Amino acid sequence: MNGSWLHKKLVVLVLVLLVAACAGPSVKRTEVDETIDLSGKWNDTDSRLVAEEMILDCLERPWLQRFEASNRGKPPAVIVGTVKNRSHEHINTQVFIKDLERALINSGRVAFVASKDERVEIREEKADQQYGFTSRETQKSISAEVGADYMLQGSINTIKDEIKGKYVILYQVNLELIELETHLKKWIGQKEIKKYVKRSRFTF
Amino acid sequence: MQTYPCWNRRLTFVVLLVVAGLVLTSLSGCAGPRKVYTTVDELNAQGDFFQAHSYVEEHAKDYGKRNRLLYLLDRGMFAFSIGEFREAIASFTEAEQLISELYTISLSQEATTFVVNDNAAPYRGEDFESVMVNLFLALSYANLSEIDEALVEARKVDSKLTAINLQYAENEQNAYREDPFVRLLMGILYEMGQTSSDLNDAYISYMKALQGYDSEYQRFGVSFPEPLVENLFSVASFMGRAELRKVQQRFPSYRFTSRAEWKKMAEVYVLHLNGRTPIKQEDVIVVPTPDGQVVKLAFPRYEEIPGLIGGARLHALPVSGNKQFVADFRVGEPIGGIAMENLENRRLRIYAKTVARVTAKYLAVKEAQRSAGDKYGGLAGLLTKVTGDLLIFISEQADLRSWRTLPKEVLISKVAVPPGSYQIWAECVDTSGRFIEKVELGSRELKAGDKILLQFRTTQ
Repeated sequence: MNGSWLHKKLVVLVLVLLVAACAGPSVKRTEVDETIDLSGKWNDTDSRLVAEEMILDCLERPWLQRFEASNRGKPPAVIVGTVKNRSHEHINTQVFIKDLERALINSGRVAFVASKDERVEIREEKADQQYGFTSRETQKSISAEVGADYMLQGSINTIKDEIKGKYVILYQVNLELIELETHLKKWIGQKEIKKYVKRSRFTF
Repeated sequence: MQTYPCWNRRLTFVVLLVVAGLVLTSLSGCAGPRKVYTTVDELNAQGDFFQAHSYVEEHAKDYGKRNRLLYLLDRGMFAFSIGEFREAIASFTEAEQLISELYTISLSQEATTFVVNDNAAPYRGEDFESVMVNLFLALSYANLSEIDEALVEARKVDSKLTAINLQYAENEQNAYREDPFVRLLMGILYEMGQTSSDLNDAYISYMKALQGYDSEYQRFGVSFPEPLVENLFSVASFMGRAELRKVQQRFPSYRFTSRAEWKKMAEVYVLHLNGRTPIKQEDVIVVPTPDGQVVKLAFPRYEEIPGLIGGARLHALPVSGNKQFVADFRVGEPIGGIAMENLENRRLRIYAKTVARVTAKYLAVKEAQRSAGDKYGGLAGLLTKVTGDLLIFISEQADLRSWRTLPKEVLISKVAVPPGSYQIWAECVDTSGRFIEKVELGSRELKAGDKILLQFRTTQ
C-alpha cells in the first residue's frame, strides 16, 4: 500500500513538472494606460504622460488667449514639426509626436494642420480628383489648405549617470511653440522624468 | 563520532559524481565554439565574409547556450563586413542587451567554474568588446545614413566609458579605461549632426580623444591620427577663442584650415579594419604533487596572427579632372594590443583561481580513493583514483573564448575634396611599402559640407 501510494505521488509530481516544463509564455491583457516598467527605458507611458502634461501646460498659457482675442475667437492652427531624439536610447519619436497631436486635437482649443508627409498624400488625392472622374459637387479645391499659425518643435534629451550595474537617467523633454509669421517663440515647455535603474549582481 | 567519517566519504563521493557530471556537461559546451571556429577562422582568413556569415548563421546552435554572446558578435561582425547593416544592428543590439543581462552572475553557474573550469560560465565579454559593440552599431547606423541613431550610440559610448573609467583608481596603469579612437569617431558623428549642440559634443569628444592618445595609447605606440587635429581645430574655431587657444597651445606650429573653408569641401573618412585580432591558445603546465603524482594546470595566452598588410593609402580621383587627392591611413585603434593587455591584467587572478580549483580537485580525488579503498578494497581505491585523475585532466581546460572575428587594428584616413563626383579606392601595402592589393570603394557624388564615412576590411 505504502509503495503504491508513493508511486502515485511520484507520478503526480512528474506530471506536474512536465506540465510546468511545457507551459508557454503567459499572456495577460492590461489596460493601455497601465504603467509597466520592465527595462527602465523610455516607454509608452512616459510618452503619453509627458505629451498630455505638456500640451495641458501649453494651452493654459497666455499666447492662446491673445491669439483668440486678436482673431475674433478663431482657434489657432498648429502643426507639430520635428521632435529630435538627443537621448541615450533609440526612441521612436513618431509615437511621441502622435501623442502630442492627439492631446492637441482632443483639447478642442486649436485647429490642427496635417503633417508634411500626410499633406503630400492628401495633395495627390486632390490632384487625382481633378482628372474628371470625380463629380464637381464633391471635388475638393486645391488651394483651400489652412496655413499653420504655429509650429511645435522639440527634443528629448537625457543625462545619464552610470556605474556598472546601475544608472540614474534624467529625461528632459523640451517643446517650443514658434509663430510661423514672426519666428517668435510663444511658449517653451519642459518636462523631466528621472529613473533609477539597478541590476542585481548575483542570482541563484 | 562514527558518523562524521561516513558522511565525509559520502560527501566526497557525491562531489566526485557531481564533478564527473559537470565535466561532461562542460565539455559538450566547449566543443561547440571550438568546432565552429575551425571553419570560421579559415573563412575569415580568406576574406570570404559572405560564406562566413552563412556558416555562422547555420551553426548558431553549435556555439552552445553559454556562448550565445559570441554567436551574436560573430554574426554581427560578418553582417557588417558584407554590408548587411540592418542585420548587424539587430545582432549587436541583442549582444548589448545580453552583456547587460550577464552582469548578473548566477552563483550556481559561477560555483561550477570553481569545480570544473571557467568555460562552465556564460561568456560575458570584456569591457573593450562591450565598447566595440557600440562602435559597430554606430558605424552601421552611419552607413544607413541614420545619423540621429548613430549619435545615440555615441552617447551610450560616452556613458559606458565613463562607467568603465570609474572602476579604476586615478593612478592605475595599463587598464582599458578610455578609448580615444571611439571618442574620435563619435566626434565625427557628432559633427554630422550639425547643430551647435552637436558641435559642442564633438569638441568634447575630440578633446577626450586627444587626451587619450597623449596618455592611454602611448603604451601601444599609437599616437593621434591626423584627422583628429584637423577636426579639433575646426570645431574649436566654432566654439570660441578660449577653446581655439587651448588647441593652439597644444599644436603651436599647426596651420589649420578655417571652418568656413572646410564647409566648402566634402570630407571623406575611411576606416580600414585590418588583420585578425590575436586568438587565445592554451598553455599547459604539469605540476608534480607531494605524493609523486602530477596534475595539469591550463591557462589562456594570446597568440598574434601575422598579417601581410601593414598599411594603406586612400585615393580620391575626380571623374572630370585629374587632380588626385591622397592620404595615408594611420592606426587609430590597436584592438589586438588592447585584448592582450586585458588578459595580462587578469593573469594573476586566472592563475590563482586555476591553482585553487586543481588543488581542490586533487584533494577530493585523494579522499575518494582513500574511502573507496577502505570500504571496497585496494583495487576500488585505485580505480577511483584513476577515474578521478582522468577527470581532473579532462576538466582542466583554459577559457579560450574571445570575440575573435574582430580586426587586429583599425586605421583611419581622411581626404577633403571640392564638391564633385569622385572615384574612391585604397591601396594596401605591406610593412616595407610594397603594393599588395587595391580595394575599390566606389564612386560618390559629393556636395560641399558633406561628411561621409566608408570602411573596408582586410584579413590577409
